[in-house]
Amino acid sequence: MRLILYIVRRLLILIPTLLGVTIITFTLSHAFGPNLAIAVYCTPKLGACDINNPFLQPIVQQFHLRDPIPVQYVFYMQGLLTGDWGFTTSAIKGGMPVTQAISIFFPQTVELAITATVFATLVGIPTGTVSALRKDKLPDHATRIFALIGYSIPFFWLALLLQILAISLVPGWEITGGYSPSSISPSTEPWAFVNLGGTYQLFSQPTHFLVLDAALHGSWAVFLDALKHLVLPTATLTIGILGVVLRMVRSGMVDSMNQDYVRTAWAKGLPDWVVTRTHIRRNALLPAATVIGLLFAGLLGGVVLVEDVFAWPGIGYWATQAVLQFDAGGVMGTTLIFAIFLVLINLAADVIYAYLDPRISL
Amino acid sequence: MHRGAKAWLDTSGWRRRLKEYALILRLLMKSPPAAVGLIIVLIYLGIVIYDQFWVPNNDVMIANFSATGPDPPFWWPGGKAAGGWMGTTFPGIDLADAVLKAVRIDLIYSTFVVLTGALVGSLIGVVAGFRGGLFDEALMRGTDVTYSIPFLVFAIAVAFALQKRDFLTINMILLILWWPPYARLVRAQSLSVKELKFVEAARAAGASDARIMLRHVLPNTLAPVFVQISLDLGVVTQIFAALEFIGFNAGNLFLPELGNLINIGWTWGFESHPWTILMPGIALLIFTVSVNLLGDGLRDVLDPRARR
Amino acid sequence: MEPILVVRGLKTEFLTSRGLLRAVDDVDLQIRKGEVLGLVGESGSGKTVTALSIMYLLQQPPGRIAGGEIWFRGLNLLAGSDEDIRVVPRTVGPPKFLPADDLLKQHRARMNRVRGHGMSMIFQEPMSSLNPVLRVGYQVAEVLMFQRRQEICDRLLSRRDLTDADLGLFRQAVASGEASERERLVAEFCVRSGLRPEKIHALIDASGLPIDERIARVRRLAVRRRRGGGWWLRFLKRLDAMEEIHFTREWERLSRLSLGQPAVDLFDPKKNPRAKGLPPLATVSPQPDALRLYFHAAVGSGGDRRKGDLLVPSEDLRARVEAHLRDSASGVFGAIFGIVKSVGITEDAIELRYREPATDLFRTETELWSRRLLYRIATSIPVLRSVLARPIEEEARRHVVELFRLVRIPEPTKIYDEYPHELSGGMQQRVMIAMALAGEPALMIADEPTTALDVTTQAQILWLLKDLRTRIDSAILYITHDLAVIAELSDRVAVMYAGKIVEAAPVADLFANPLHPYTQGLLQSIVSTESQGLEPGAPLPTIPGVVPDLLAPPSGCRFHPRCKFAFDRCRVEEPKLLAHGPNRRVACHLYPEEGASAAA
Repeated sequence: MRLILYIVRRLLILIPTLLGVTIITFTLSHAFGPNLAIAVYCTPKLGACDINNPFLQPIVQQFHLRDPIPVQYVFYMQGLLTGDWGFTTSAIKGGMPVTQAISIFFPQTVELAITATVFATLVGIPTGTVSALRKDKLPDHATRIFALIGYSIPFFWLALLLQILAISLVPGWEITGGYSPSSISPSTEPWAFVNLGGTYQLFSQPTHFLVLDAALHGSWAVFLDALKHLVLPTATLTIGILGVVLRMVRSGMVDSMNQDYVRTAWAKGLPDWVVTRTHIRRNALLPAATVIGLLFAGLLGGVVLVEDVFAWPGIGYWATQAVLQFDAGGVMGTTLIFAIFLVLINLAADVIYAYLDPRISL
Repeated sequence: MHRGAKAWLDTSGWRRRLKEYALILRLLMKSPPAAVGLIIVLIYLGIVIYDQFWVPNNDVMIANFSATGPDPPFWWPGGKAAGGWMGTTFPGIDLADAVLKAVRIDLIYSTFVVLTGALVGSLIGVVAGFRGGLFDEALMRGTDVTYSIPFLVFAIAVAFALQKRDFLTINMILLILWWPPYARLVRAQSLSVKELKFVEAARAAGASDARIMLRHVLPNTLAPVFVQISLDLGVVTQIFAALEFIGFNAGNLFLPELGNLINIGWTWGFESHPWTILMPGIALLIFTVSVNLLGDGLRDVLDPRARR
Repeated sequence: MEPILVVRGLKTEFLTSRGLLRAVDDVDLQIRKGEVLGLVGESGSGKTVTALSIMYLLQQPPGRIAGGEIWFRGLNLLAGSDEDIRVVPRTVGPPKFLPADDLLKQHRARMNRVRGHGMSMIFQEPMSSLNPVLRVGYQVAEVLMFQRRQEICDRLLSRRDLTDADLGLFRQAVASGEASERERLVAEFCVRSGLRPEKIHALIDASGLPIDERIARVRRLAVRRRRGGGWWLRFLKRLDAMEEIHFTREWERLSRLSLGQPAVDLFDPKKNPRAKGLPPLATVSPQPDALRLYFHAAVGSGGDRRKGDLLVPSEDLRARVEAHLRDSASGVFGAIFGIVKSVGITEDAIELRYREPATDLFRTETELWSRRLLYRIATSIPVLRSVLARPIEEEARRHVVELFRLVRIPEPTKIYDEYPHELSGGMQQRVMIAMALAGEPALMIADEPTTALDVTTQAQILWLLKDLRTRIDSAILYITHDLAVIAELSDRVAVMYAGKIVEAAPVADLFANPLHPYTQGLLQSIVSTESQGLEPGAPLPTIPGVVPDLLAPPSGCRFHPRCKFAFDRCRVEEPKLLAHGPNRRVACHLYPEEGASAAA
């Protein structure tokens, strides 16, 4: 019960932050979006940018340009809350409403983010533990060098590097751009596509994660193909954030190893593994929960680049396409969805931390 | 007026601070990784100076459209002497030349961005931390907003707002976006510093708020700022490269910039000419690694609590 | 009386950025069974470092034990530690710098057995010494769960059914109108029955159920509790027994390794204080291996913590040993078990361990290893671990509640579930004391347990410790800078100055007639106002000067720069700790040697 109250309180604190984000996105979509559309009809050379121009009336109506800016913002917020996030023209042929585009692109981004996080955690926590326990020995040095390179390496370059490595080391490996495997098409695998008024978009059912869905439907060819597409993007992101995870775990462990309560635990005569697990690592990972937000910020930044390099149809790919094609709706939608995602992750991290650490009163 | 001038002329404080810096440097050189980082950063600095004063046309890559294709470096399997020691990229650009020029551009601009961000952020932060109140609250909420959008996405959005995708735009974006971390850092520090005795003493001696902030609080919050600056140099260089890479190279396709070079290699088919992306990438990686080494070393030296 | 702990020539060093600092230099100490030894000195004199060295809890890189011996109930604690490994050549082949990991691992495991179990420690800062994210009760229970698991398993397995008296308590609780009274009754009932208080409270609060139905449910709960996990408990018990044997053998091996000439030294009363009363080796048997094992079984290095004395009367020792070595067909281990059985030891742990035939207990090393592996795997999975450990923790909880009562913690069942930051400093220190008592150690080290507390709480804790002295039979090494506390609590006093013991004496003698000038100074600076009737306002007499820099200690006697009696010899020659009178030892040139040096 107190936990629920705490979450509600935290959600209330989030409101100003999210309002700030919407002000930014409003500025993007309304201050620049209509101008862009207007620019199509009237160039400065002609000098006739009259708001009464009949060609512009649909835009004027749509963005409420006759109203003062605060009123425009209210209409904008109304649109956001009622699910009208505007229209995107990039990344998908013919364009579509932003909300629909999000529902198509978001699962792929989440797929990358989750797999990378899971792998980085699974590898990072035990390795960081070993590194801290064997401080200044060979495993520690190796881990630290790896972590250093991991968080120093630019994501986009690592993506290219891994592709070069895969091509030169794995026989038969080709440049695997994109997400939709060649072995899959709307006619053969109907569960994986949505019909967007004539064009088909990959949107697999029921989990939206192609690898999982292929396995669920027993389409092993699709499964293997999708897995092959997933490997390199995931590996790039994993290596990138693994450096952060390793550093976090290691420094946290080293800090808490020197605490008095760990000495007490030794003085109690507990076996090594109990001291390591219950006393050192538990205390080391608790504060790490607060760093998860930063980790995810880095991860989502990396997602943009990785998706761009691998032409992976996620939010990040859409974002780069949107900015390159001057698509106001796309930029607005991607910014907003990334912000909401990150804010919620931060919230979850805080709640978990508060739940696990008794010193924080909920 | 006279007293003020005298206070500024009084060099004993600066001399003492210089001594402190010399001590920090000595401690830094004692840790091998930090020393390596420092030396490599100095080498990069040497490249910058060399490019700045002795290389003609140091802001454009020399293309040779009549070249047959990218040549591998001479030490590459099947390499020719024509390739030079880093090879060439499309269209007939000598990578050795281009990478050296790119290092200059990247370093100068990222240093500019980071230092400006640190300066602006520190000033805002110290005022917020020292004064508190509404300004502080507004600052914290505002930075919360910037923290809640992944940086690269934010940069893309601002670039969209600026309606341009060239190198100067990237600089503008970073100048706009790079002060909040420093503001928060300095604010948190000054919150604790302002409770210390010597601030009380200065106030008792009748010093003005501005003087206390600039002469007493700010200098004592700078240690983590230095660490952050050295770590950020690598990050900003990476962001320059990343933005150039994803297509912010409009307007000057021949701008010597590491991300742009990698982009060129990528666009023209890196799988058959790996050196076109390897060389600029390695130059970038070595710089970020060494800057991180230096930053970690600085952190250890400046903040004994964080010694790992 | 037998000494429990003998420290000889202990040297502990710290590597600082300015050089090698010897914080403890050539310290000799001994503590007898049930005795309280006060270790007193200014801050920085090496008291805490001595204690940490004995517990082997030094932070190691900066610190290391550079030399000396620590004998704890006949076993050299430093054998196989990293210091030791460096100096010990290999038994076969040329001397080699041994990779420390293997032996060190064993040494660590061994120290884990000794700590908590054989000796425990109360730290100075209770707040930082308790893990902030674990419940205090659990932190105490850990000692029981990992150090006295056999006993806890036994108790769980041998738990009787609920008696009518117990159920009477429950009836009373149900009938009782007053909440606090009911709380007390339920707590009492839970301690007796081993059921969880929440469940009982839930049952009582479930109004509407007839009393018979409630009692039936309580019975069902108790039965389920008694049966559940029986297999697991038995398995854990066997595992513990096997580890105990394994551990004993390893220890034996390590003792031999460190001693060089094992049998002779082990049985030499001069080298091994525990060997007193054993017949000389030469007269017993030509089979040293068997003897060594026998020795360990006899003096109880393994499971028998409390009875540090000989388990076997020494008169008929020889005959028994020889008979068993002759008869035993199953090798040395058979011999040990034969001896242990034949002397009819009824101490529960021992009896339990040897009740089963030896061959069944541990057939092969492989089996031992595989079972330990299984155990590790089972305990690695968090869900499984909590399921498996729950009955043990609940049983341990009952012990902890009793311990909390012993250290006068009010509402022990409630405090069990609190976190350290929710308790006051005094309560935290009580928890620490309960933790130190939990393993029923032979030696407790109290490192300034009252320094970090406020004055009224200090008095309470001191009173508690004084009270506990009469109720437990652990020896205590009490470290403090406060002579008044020493006078109150301890039997003997050792005074430390700059890393060295300068004087050791029974407490009455020391206060009546301090020998060393430093001790005199200490006493004067504390008691002078009353005893010498100083005028009000006159400055308190203090010892001039400051504690010397241990990186560059003064030549000769370390106290000479501050000593008013110092003469030429003090500046040149370092005084040895020599006997002065029957019970006292002092390191000062003012007191010339009186014949023989101090007894070990």
